Amino acid sequence: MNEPLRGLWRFSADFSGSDSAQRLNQALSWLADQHLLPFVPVQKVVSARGKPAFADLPGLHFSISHCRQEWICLIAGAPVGIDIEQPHPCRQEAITRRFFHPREQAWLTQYPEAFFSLWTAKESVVKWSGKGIGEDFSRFSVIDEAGQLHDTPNYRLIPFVTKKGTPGTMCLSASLRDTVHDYFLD
Amino acid sequence: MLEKIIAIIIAETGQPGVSVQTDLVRDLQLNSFDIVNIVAALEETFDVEINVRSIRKIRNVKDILATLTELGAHE
Repeated sequence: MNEPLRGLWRFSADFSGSDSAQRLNQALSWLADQHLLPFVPVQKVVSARGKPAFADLPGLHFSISHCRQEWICLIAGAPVGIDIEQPHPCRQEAITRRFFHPREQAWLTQYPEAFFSLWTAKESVVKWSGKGIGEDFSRFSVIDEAGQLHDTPNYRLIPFVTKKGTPGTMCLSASLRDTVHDYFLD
Repeated sequence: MLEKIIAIIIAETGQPGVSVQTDLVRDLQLNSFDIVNIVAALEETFDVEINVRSIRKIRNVKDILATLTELGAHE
């Protein structure tokens, strides 16, 4: 089955460190209960780069992020990436030097308040691609020369804020529509 | 060196009760940014560069200690 799920589904939940897999299963069960998924996949596999997938439903794509006690997951029939992060004091200069593209570094020198929005955008891209944070992380820029988030023919970057007020970015395959169906898991 | 690592984690996360057995994700609920932030602090403190492949493998305090030991980091 090439595209087992239509639409773009975003699930959020309260979170403690050990229950991400449970929350994902809860989201998938809800989709199956609504007849949006043919069944709840169980054969979890992880790529060499650490990207999880389901061998028994290979057309299903998902991405998970958590920040403090907040968990969020994007599920769709095409690759997706999501990252949330609440701005807070951190080793911003060192991280900028090490992990950001020169264009992003230059932008952050002028607009340091953009740090977390650029970080979540970059993380969402590497989650979308399945590559994770690697040597390439500093070799691509998520912004153009004017500091605007830079879409490509393959994906779009969409900033958003969770219901709890945590900013983040979604990276959506170009084939996906922007309409997000939100659901909060009990 | 272990005490310094633990002190850095506590300082960067604001979470007490860190030990050599602490799992950064399961016990402290850290995400990848938090780990990158801790790595930045470790690099500055120990004057080393931890390559990205090693960062991806870090799950607990023991992993950090092993990584820094491999890099020849000193107190």
